[in-house]
Amino acid sequence: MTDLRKTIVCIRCPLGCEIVAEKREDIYKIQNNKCTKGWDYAFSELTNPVRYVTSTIAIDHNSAHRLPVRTSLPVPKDKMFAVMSAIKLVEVTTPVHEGQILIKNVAGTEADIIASGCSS
Amino acid sequence: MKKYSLIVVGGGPAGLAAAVSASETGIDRILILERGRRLGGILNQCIHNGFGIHYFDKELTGPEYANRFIKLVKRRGIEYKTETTVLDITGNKTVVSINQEDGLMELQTDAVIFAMGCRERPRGAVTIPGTRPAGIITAGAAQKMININGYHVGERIIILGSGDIGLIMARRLTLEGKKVLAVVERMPHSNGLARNIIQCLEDFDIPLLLSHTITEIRGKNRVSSVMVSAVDEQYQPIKGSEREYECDTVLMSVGLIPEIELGKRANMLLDPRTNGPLVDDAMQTSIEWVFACGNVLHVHDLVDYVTLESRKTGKAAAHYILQRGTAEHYAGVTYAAPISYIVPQKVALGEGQAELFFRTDRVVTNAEVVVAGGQGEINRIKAARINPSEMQRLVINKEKINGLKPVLEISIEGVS
Repeated sequence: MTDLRKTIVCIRCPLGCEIVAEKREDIYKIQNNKCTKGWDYAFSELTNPVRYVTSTIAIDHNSAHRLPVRTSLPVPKDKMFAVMSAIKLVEVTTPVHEGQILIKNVAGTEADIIASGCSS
Repeated sequence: MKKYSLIVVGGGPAGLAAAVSASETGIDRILILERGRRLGGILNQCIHNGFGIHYFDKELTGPEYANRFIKLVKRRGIEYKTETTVLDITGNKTVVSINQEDGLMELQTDAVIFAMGCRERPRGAVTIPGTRPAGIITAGAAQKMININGYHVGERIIILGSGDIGLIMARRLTLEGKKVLAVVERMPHSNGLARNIIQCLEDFDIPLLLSHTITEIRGKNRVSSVMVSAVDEQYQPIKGSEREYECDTVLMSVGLIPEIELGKRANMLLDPRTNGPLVDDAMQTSIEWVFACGNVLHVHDLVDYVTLESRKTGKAAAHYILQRGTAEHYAGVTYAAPISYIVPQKVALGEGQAELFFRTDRVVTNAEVVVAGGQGEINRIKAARINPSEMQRLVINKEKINGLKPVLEISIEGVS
């Protein structure tokens, strides 16, 4: 693995610590955080930053009738566009209920695409 | 004439939470009147996640957050009418409203809760020279077009203002394959939450141009470009700093204003700082039987806080309806810069605690928030950092307010 060094503005509280996170030969060094939440955040941002992806899909072949959808889990940041491409390929027919799985294992991320609203 | 105990104007997060809370306090015959096609209000178009972190300890999307309350409303048998517009409230506790099915309705009630939310400041509210082509829209309108109606708003986009909706739309448009050129903010700090700056702009390398503004919009039928300039400390454009951005769309995210027309028509007292009603700590307005909560009262940054405030309002309105006594003596709340507003504007004297919310007009670091009540200091709270984008909360023990000089003075000391 390559060495990494990043300055990460912590978003866990309003303080906004500018945390310096480093990885050198499998040793992680995280500095300038004022609490353990900041340490956790910086560590995940350095090693595997993840985000939820949310979008909408067409209902009943009608592009003007949208169903909100999201990933069931946060996905790696660099997979967001791959997830979006997969979402664009699907449609649903009514009825749809909140939480219904629409795509399993989207873009190989282990997250599913689920309905975040209902069709009514 | 149909008779209700409580009519809630607006079926968004504030109205839903207030109605549920009033119902839990023992009020039946509650009616929610909603202008939109469905309950949920603005949450229906906020398909992104991040709602409910404080209230549900979970990251929900807008529709998911709304559905939790819609389910409660239905389970409690609270009556509601959608696609219904309230036209007026009148002095004899009557709500005048209209819809296609019932026509014009005059509804008698014991109390009303205003939960109409807010609307966006449009282009006309921030003077920008230039032509008036198509392609200039508010960020929230674009959000509705994309997320509810399935339209595209443009291909190359500039966003004016760093409010949260603008930031959210920067990410949404980018994920949809559109090019967001920059977010342009006149102030030296962002008006959006840090979380949104990082996850909506930095994640996608979208530049945030602080202390910049749009000085001209060009284009005949459709926007073709905008001129962006740096501004000095008086927000005046700096000559020679102009840069042209070719784009077909300008999104405006330049602030929200409480939608309080109904209050104005009823001569309700308003606070010129919030543009919302003047209330006491039970969220009672200057019209005794009308309460207010959510973004019609003051613009919140998180829906979680809207829910908490609205639950309190629903309970207070229920106590009013059940005639559990109203306050007679109040302490006025005073403050000075850098505090830009405080809600509520007055606090009823008596027992218990009062919750106050305020914002600052600038970033404040290493300061102390000092609460004084008439004859002396009540409380002093250290504040390592206060961001203008984040609403601040103060809880005050009301018994400490001295009745001889009933005033509550809030100040910030040690501002650098």
